[in-house]
Order: sequence, then C-alpha cells, then structure tokens
Amino acid sequence: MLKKLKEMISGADTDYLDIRYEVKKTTTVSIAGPELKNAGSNSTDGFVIRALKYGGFSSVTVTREEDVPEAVKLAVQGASAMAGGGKTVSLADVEPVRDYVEPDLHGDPAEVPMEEKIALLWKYNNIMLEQPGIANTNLSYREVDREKFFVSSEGTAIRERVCTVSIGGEVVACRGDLTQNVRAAVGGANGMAVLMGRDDVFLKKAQIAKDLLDAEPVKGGTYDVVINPSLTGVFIHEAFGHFSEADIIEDNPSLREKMALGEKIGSDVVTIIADTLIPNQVGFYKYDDEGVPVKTTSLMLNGVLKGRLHSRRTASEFGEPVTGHCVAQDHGFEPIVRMGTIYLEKGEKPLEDLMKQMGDGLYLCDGKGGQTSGENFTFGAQYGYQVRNGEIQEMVRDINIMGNLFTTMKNIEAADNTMKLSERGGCGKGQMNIKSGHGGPSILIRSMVVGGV
Amino acid sequence: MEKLLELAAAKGCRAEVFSTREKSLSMSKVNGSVDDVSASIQSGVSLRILRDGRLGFAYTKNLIDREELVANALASLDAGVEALYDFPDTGSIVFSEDFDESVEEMSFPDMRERIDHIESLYGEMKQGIMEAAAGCGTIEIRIINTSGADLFQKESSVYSIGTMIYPGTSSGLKNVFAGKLDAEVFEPDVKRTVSNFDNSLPEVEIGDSRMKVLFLPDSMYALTWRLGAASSAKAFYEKVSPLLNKKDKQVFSPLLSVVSNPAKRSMGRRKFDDEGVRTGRVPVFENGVFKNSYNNLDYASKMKTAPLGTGFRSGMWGGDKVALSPSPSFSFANFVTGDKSFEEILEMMDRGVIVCGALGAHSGNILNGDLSIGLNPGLYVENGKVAGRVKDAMMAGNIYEMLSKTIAVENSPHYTGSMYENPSILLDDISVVGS
Repeated sequence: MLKKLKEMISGADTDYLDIRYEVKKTTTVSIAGPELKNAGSNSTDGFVIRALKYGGFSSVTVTREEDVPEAVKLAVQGASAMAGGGKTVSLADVEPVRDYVEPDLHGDPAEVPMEEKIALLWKYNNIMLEQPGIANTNLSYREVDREKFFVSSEGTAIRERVCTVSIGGEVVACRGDLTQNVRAAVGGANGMAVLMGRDDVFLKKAQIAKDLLDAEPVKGGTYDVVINPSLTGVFIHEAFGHFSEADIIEDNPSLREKMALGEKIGSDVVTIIADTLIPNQVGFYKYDDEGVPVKTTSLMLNGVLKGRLHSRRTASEFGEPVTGHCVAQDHGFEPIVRMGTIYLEKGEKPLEDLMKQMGDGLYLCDGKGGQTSGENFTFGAQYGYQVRNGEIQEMVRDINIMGNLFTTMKNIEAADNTMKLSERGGCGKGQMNIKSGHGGPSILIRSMVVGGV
Repeated sequence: MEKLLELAAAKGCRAEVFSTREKSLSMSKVNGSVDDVSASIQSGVSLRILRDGRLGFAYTKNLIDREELVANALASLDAGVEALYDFPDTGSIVFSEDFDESVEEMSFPDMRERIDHIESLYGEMKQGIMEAAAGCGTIEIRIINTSGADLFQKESSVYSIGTMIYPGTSSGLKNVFAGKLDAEVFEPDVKRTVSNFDNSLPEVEIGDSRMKVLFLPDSMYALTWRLGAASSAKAFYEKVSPLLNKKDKQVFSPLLSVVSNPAKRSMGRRKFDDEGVRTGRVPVFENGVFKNSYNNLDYASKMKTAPLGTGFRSGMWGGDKVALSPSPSFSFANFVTGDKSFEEILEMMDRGVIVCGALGAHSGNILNGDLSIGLNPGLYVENGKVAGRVKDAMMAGNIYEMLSKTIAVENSPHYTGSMYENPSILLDDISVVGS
C-alpha cells in the first residue's frame, strides 16, 4: 500500500504533498437495560491528501480510490487559492521516517470472538442493573482498530496500527420524577486485558447513582474545592490543555502574548506534562497523522509555561520544536493539533491533608463532560460532597463549574500524592479524538464558580 | 444497491440499503488572512437486515465487496438483537427541489469571493478579531428496501458566517447566512451584531442574583437537548423519563410549543426520515402541554404506536450517518415562533443577560432537565440596552421550572448552522452566578 500511495502523489505540481490511507475496523456492542441493541463489526477506509503550494495549504478527504486523482487536483487548487491570501504557510523541517509500528497488545481484540465480547458486556451491565434503585443502563463495548499508511513527498513512509478498546456508558437511577445518571468506563490501548476483572468499577458507579437520589442539589456560588484525579484530568484537558494546542491561539494575538513560553501563569504546584508515549495508555501512539514522531513535552513547570503542542505548520509559525501532535479522528478528517495523554504531576500530601487545608468547601468527583472557549472553561462533576472543617460530609449533586484559565491556574493551592490516568478518551474539538487521555492527582483550588441548579 | 437487496433476500432476509454521497468545499479567513481551505468527497452504504425477529446491521464507505457487507450484516444478526418491525413500503419519492446544480460547480475562488465580501460588511473592528467563513456542499441520500420503498433526495447548500471575537477570548457574536443556492446576507442583522459587539466590550461583574435571561437561537440547543432526552420514546420505553405520566399535562409556560417537522424548514428539508418513513408534523409540546414522544421504527413497534418519521441517523454531535443506526431523533424539533420582535423583547429586559453561547451544555443531568451552563458570551442588559458582557458567569436551573417562567417568544426563527431553527425566548427570575 505504501508503494501505491507513493505512486498516487508522484508528479503533482506542489511544494509538498502527503497522503494518508486508513482502514478503520470498528466493533460495537450496545446494551440498553435488559436489551441487546446493537452488535457488529464493520470496516471503512479512505484517503486524506494535503498540498502545500506557494505558501498556501489545503486538504481534501475522499473515500473512493478512483476519486484520489480528483482529490489531488482539488488540494492543489485549494492551496493555490489560499496563496497570496495574507498568510504564508510553511512546514517545520522533519527528518523523513520509514517505519512499521504494531501495538503491544495484551490480548488482541481482533482474535477474541464476538460472543465473548457480548458476554463481558452483559456481565458488567447486569452488575449495575441488578442493584436496588437502578432503573436503566446504557453500556457499550467499542473497539476501534486503525491501520494507517502515510506517505509524503519528502520520503516519509509509515505504517502504524493503533487499537483502542473500551466498555463504557451510564447507569440511571430513578425515584418519582427524579432521575440521576452516572458514567462508568474502563479501557485502554493495550488490548483486552484491561477490560477484564473490572466488576468493582461498575458496582461502585451503580451505588453512586442510587445514592444521588438522596443527595441535594448543590447551591450555586463560589466555593473552595478539592477535585479528584478524574476531574483533575478533565480540568487540565479543558482549562489548560486546549490552550497549549498551538492552533487554538495561533490567530489570537492577545492570547499568544498571554501564553508566551516563559510566562508564569500557574501556581508553584502546577507542573503539566504531555506524554503520549506512556505505554498502555489510551492516548498512546508513535507517529502522528503527518508522520512526525511524538515527543514527550513539558508544558508547564512550577507554573511557568515551557512548551506547546504542535503540527508542522504551527511549529513553523511559532518557531518552536515539532511535537508530533497533529492527529485526525480517522480517514474522513484532516489532522489538527490534539492532545494525547496530558497530566498534572502529583504532589506529596495525602488527600486528608488537602481537605484540612481547604477547611470548608466541596469535594468533587469524576468528570461529566467539559468544554472550553478561549480562556473560559466549564466542566461537570458526577457527584460531590460538602466538606466542613476538613471533614467529608453529605453528598451533593448537579454540579457544574466554570472558571477562567489564568485565574484558576494561580488558585491551585495543593496536589495530593496520588496519580490516575483516564481509561477512555473523547474530545470533540471539531472532530472526535478517542485517544485523548488525561489525569493527575487530587488538587485543591480556591474560589471556583459553581453553577448548581 | 439493488444487488445488495437481492443478496440479502437470497439469505431469507428483509433488507434496507441506505446510501449517501456528499461533496463540500470550505474556506475561512481570520483578521484578513485566509486561514483554512479544505474539501471533502465522501460516500457510504449501510445495510440493515431482518430475519426471525432479529436485526443485522453493517456499513462501509467503499462498496467494493457486496458479499462481505452482507456477511457482516448476517454476523451481526446472529448476535440476537431483537427487531419486531418491518421496513416501510413508502413507495417512490424523488425530492430534489432543494438542489441547484450550479452549487456543484462552485470552486475555491468562489469561496474566496464570499469570505472577502462578508469580511467587508463588518468594517474595521476597534477591538477583537474578525472571522469570515464560507462553504458549499451537496448531499444525496437514497433508501431502498424489500418492502418496495425507493426514496431519493438531493440537496445543495451555501453558507457564509461572520464572527466577531472579543479581545483576549475565543468567544464572540456571529451571523449565519445560508441558502440552497446562495447565502443572502442581511445587512441589518450584521449592523445589529456590530452594535451589540461594540456595546458589550466592557466586562461586567454581576455577582449572584436572579434576573431575566434571553436565550438566542444559537444557544437554544442547550434547552432542546434536554427536552429531546426526556420526550424520546426510548426514555419512555425504559421508564426513565421525567415526563412519564405527564402526557396532556402542563409542564411549562403556555407561550411555548415545540414541534418536529422535517419537511417544513428553510434548510435541510426532509420528506422521509432515515428509515424511509414519510415525515410530518409532530407536536411534542403544545402551549406548554406535553403531547407526544417521538420515535423510530424500533421504539414504535415496542410501544405499539405508529412510526412518526422521526427516525434519523444522528447522535448528539451529529456523526457519520452511514455508521449510525437510526434512533428516535429530536434534531428537527424547533420552538414555535411567538409574537414579539427582538427589539420588543430587548425592551422588556430591565436587568438581565443574553445567552449568546452556552459553554458546557452537554454536561450535567440532561435527562432530568438540569441545566448549568457558562455564559459564553453573555451580554449584560440594563434598561433594554446592551451594557457590557458578563465576566465568568453561569446560569443554572431545571429547564421545566425555567421554561415555566417564559415571558416572551420572538416572532421569527433563525437558522444557526445546525438542524435547529429557533426564535429567541425570554425567561424571568433565573439564577445567574457570577464572579
């Protein structure tokens, strides 16, 4: 296939051209309550072509091989149309690479029969559904196995397989008109083993859903909060991580100034690393979707900005090193700057000390989605507790937090000595990235705006 | 396509083939520089088969090996997913009134002309960033099934978007203009946006209080998602909807009605849903009274009701139609227009905020109707005039309580680039939490 791709892009009148062909095999099993809703395996494929000409840069996606010549022509036309439009694009230099990468899988999902996958999903589903107070479940097994072939006019030729598995969904508890739901997920990028023996995860979430029926909604206001590792991961991803993606701030002069490397924007306890090479993590890959080897990148050290995530285009624009973070959802999308695995470094104190340090406030647990827009971010917590005098007390529900990146990063006062990384990704920055891993320790943040209900 | 039906029928199956072909171009400009240029030519086929009360489902983007696609569907069928319905005999429909072939001939230079034009309308900005985007596309959908349906739809669309971004942020105010052949730009809308932008440049700290809240069409999806989750036949079948036992009961203000009608809209009209059922008017809420849940073939059969033409292949975030199974879809449901102009509604606001964008609308307990969103941006209004934009503020509540406090509904809908075409609605006495 690599040879065929090379032939497809040879002879085009451009300064640079690349082509990515991908075969994506997806296996999905879905259960809703006591019913199997969906089960099947499917394969799709497609091509993404990118062209650079006269400082213009353009991309085209196509599904059919016979459309590739038209796509190459269209990409060159697009680049030409952009040229002279006020911005001159160049790509940071990289060494051409030739490589073939197979993942290190503990139990290749491709070799596990469908019946076993369905049985495993039923097992976790029923653990939740059989708990008292639980009205329904929506649980899915999802396996995405991508075989990617990348060829550039500079001589890079890479074949890499990335395989992600997860079991996740929600458990719903009901009483009268009140409905409460909690999310549960296990998974990773290292095969089926990570899905085995995880009964405790699903049991705990069902119990939390039931307990939420007796919890009071949190009252809106400004609180000091301790957030657990799951929420720290969501917070670091939403509040800071997107701002460290160069394309987000590229065209915004005031944000580029605020995010200049060397600026101190966080408290001394904040050190943030983007490490997509951590083995077995959901975010793991070796080459991004423009053929650049991914590098572990220190983004913030003791509150001081140290690095940024880049594509070749943004690295050139910023005059900073390439990091290998230009990733596409699949063959239907051009690659854009994305996080792989990002985390906040742990501290030295136990969780109890953070609670005492906080005194009165909220202890918030597990992410329920988040979003960022410029320097503002928001994220939800699945459940939480009132904390009084350093002691965890009654459960609260319906918790959403909003903040400003620059204010909040300076208000992080302490991190505990634990560390946990997420097992399932799902970031929707224009296109879905199921390989966005994140995590960290529990952290104490002062003065967060909590919306309540 | 027909060959696939034959192959499935040879295995003793009822079958449905859903296929799409799409082509699109887009270009954008930021602060005077062309920023992004891209195109896409995508196609796909999905196959559903029924046999012995079971469903099989398979899809592909490149239909090269028909036998393999049928084999995948048969393997899926063996898993035992129950299906107690048949595919509808809708007859033949060819709908191409919303297609203009000249859109297929549009090129990148055409898009360049459009973004230059839209940029020029906003003039020289005093502060902030100007973004202009333009695009065009065509989409074909065909559905055939063994019950005799042969349905074809082809449509084109052209859009232009102008967005003004506040300094130091990524949030702003925008205008979306779209049409089947051209995106006619209404200059009074642009002038109003520029005026609101200029007046809202100062940041205002509002603290915690209760005030009037005006949802613009751009942020109405935060409400629609929650109403859609609760009124889906799926939530009723699973007995988890907060609207259980509330049919024909008042659940919010009589000023509000929400109707799904895919055939009646300015863009993206549909005469049949993604299962081949003819679409029609489905009143879900009428004058604040809950009237009907919406369904697809599967949940219609489970609930022993008629399918309503509301089964579409879409998720909360859209998604790949070919890869998604049809499900009950609220994506064509819109709030019905009221009797007040936007200016009259603004004058009703002695003190309040305008929700121009909702941050985190997908968070929280959506099924229960709980809403807690960042105002991004939220414009602060005093005595009927935009007086600034709120700093770090959220609004929160349960939507059934919130919508019970509706005091005005705008008299015209607005296309916002999504399926939804809603008017603005004004609510009173809503909790807003600010820094």
